[in-house]
Amino acid sequence: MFRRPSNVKASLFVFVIVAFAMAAIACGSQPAAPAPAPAPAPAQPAIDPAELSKLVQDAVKQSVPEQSAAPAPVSAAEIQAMVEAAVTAGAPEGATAEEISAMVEQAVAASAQPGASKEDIEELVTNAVSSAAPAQSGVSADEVQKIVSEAIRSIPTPAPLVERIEVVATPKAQGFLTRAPEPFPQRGGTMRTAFGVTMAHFDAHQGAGTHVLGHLYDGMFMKTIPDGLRTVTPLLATDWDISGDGLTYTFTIREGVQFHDGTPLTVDDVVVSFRRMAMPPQGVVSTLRDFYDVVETIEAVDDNKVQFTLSEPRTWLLEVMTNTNHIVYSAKTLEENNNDLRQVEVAPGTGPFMFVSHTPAEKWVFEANPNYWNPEVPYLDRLEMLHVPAWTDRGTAVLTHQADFSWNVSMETHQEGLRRSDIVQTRRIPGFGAYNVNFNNQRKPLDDPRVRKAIRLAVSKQALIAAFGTQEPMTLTGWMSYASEGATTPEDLATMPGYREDKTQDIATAKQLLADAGYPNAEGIPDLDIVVASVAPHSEILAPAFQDQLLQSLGIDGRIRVTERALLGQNALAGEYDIQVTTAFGSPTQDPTPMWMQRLTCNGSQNQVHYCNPEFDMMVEALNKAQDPIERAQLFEQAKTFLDEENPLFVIGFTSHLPMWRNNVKGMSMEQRTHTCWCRLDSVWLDQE
Amino acid sequence: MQQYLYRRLMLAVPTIFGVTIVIFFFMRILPGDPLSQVVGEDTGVYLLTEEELAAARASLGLDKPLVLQYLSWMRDVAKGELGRSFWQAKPIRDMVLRRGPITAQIAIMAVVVSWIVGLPTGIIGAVWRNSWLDHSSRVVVTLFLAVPSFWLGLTFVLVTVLVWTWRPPLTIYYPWDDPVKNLQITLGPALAMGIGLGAAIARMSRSTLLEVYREDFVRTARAKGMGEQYVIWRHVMRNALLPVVTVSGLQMASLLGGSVAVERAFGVPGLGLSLVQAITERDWMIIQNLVLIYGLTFVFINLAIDLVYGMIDPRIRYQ
Repeated sequence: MFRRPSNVKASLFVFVIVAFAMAAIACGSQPAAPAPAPAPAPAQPAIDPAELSKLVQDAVKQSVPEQSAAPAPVSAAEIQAMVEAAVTAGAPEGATAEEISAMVEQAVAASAQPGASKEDIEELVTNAVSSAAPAQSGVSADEVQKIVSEAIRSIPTPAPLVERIEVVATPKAQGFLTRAPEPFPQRGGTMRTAFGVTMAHFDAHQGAGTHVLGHLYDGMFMKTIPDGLRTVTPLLATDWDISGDGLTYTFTIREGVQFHDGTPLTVDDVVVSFRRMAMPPQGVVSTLRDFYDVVETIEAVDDNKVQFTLSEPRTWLLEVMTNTNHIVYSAKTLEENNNDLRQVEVAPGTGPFMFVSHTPAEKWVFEANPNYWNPEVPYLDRLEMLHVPAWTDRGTAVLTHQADFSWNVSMETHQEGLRRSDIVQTRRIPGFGAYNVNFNNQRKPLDDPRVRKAIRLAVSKQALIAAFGTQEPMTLTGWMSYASEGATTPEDLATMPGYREDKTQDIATAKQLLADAGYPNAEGIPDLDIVVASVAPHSEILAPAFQDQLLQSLGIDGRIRVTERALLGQNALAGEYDIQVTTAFGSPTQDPTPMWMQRLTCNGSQNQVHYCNPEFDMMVEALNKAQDPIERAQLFEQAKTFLDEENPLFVIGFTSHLPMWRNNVKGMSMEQRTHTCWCRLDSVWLDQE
Repeated sequence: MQQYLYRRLMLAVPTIFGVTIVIFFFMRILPGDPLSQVVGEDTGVYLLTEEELAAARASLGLDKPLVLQYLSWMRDVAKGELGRSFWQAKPIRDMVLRRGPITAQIAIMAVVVSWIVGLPTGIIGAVWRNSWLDHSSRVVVTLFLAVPSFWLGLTFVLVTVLVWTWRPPLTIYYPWDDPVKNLQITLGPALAMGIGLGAAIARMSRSTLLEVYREDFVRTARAKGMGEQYVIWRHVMRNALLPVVTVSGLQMASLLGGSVAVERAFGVPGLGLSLVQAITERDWMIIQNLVLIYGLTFVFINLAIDLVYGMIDPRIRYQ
């Protein structure tokens, strides 16, 4: 039993530190050990619940990683050292440092599975506290438990860890299969989801919605769910080998995998599928082609090995392959359908779920694949994906239990969800999509980098983000999402010219730049043609706000021209605009390089802004090759500085998503996720108690 | 009567033909094409080379001459399939048959609600005109004429969510499958729209009743010593209801197409939402067919209204 309040303090601090350090560990694949037995603790008098609450909250807050830090995976030894230091500082009586140390070691060993959910941590802490402080006068175990639970719930969303997905250096996780992060997932049940599930066609390589269809198929890898998408879990590739020069990738294909129609998966299916993505046959518009632009050959070298040869390195190739649309179709199906699967609703896949029914614009129903090669998943019997296009409806659907989960709800339902933590959980997770303003880099006056820079300096991102706040949350960002590798944190950005809130100095500089470019007081600049899609928030909030900012800060006038969203691409291709307010600056990966390559290099296939600067192309090329983290960090800094001068476009802000789920939906590691990913739900389970 | 019917049906043919021609060619003249679904912000691929675009168009049959495209659509219509969406594997008929009943049910319920609410209000206002009842009902009527039905819908959903943590189901339930859930879907939209329509009916019926009240034949009836109630029900109402029937019929026709805003507010998966979806996806085939269906609905509802006139007012003869 405890003798003094400080013991409770120390003990809780230890557990909370351990628990959060556990959450930060990005690690391997050992099975979970039994839960640690809490150490015996000395008796103690009553403790004031308010004090306890405060100290637990403090401890919890302290242990949340700093947003600006780029923490490397924490090792068990480090955690132990940290906890020992904490314990020594707390000078507890009764529990010896050795006892606590042993306890910590056990806890760390037990947590050596990828990630640990809030619930796990809560359980650990609760167990410890309830056995340590039973039936004391003044504070009951229940009270302590409640306080701890509340403290853990009130933890601010862990800041994304700005780190690189270490795909290249990831230990070959042979034998590691997807499983729920919690120790005892339950099987069975139907989960209903609420988000948009319509798609124009069903061909994943040609742009069909794989947030739905992806459950029916497998790619080579996926991002690991339990560790919050920090590493890679093998799917159809059990092993991979990358040559030292980064030009040859050899994948070993899993054996014993069957398509849903019973056909066995062969190396040919993999070869044909990836060739289709990389070198699409006539009539196939592969939306993934760009990512394999330097892939020269895709060959089977063995019965179970596929080799990609590249003409130059692409450090992000493996990461891009974790996306849900890089899936393997059966060669037979492709041949039978003359290579066009757009109208083929149910092309057989190898995925964890099998098709049951589809009612267009209403719902998709999938059931668990009993022959899935990973016997652990899926836990769900059935997945019903309801079509709920409006964000508010998604939120109300989850709140009212018409659905169990949504990837993205509206701001006001998210806020209501935060108040209703008795029934739902919701979080804000940064994504890789952005609202941006395209400049036509070939038309006067925006062909002059000084004019473009003047606009970036003078237009307040904070004002635009605030104006759009009721529609979609955005964060102050530079040239990449703040969850991206190499990102500057929003806090640091907010002190930089053009990004800071106070515009006095920036506007003065901007006016000088305009004068240098030959447009003193914006004289000689014609009314700019501002093109925007006829999507109400775009054309009624963002475009007018941008137009107003231009006029107020620089005296540049513009005329808004509203067009169909579908026409923005054609409009961009023809270069018939000065300025486009759009959403096209998105990244397929945490590494922003492919986004820059597609959209900002001279030969970028998606270069809507008609920007071309060989110097920037060289930076992108260097990033495509660089493996060394320090070199990469330097290259990112260089590229960001360069773009801050050149400004081929204007980033308003990268968005966040607001997922919401019922309290009984488990297995998604939402708390740990570094970024949003509308990916697979095979590790999800429903707590049926 | 029969001859009249035949003639009206014959006249409907060129009307419908005109509708098909106009919508078919308008869709192709207006900017934007179905390729936006292959090439768009959502797919990440935004720009295609001209050759790729041409190949993609050809794969959808958009490279064929317009006349051939039109004829092949007409062939599908004649077969009863209503053509196929560019993308969806199923005929559009399936979609219309699945969603149509819900939209139609809401339309019928809304019109019934509008009568239940609107007619008594109008009659009260006319019979006791300038009384406090009349004044207060006119205030309420004006209020509901001004308040858009989708706003009522949004408020309804918001209140039920916040207060009872309940909202209507998001998927389709037919009355014959699950009447309770079906009512949960349809009652809200029917009330939201019915109240607005009811306000229009109330205003219309009040003014026509007052007009008929002053007609000579009403005075004659009273002069013959008929009771006031008999005069109102037997003489005034029958004559005053003709415009109300017209208005209701037209309301019904437009509701059968699905009220986009109200379906959106309640999240009802009806025809209105399909049309919006098809427009954003530039799925010409769905748009064409839905417009064709609206055209047909309007023609036949108008015909039905004309036939109902004959029943309400025996003086009307069809020639």
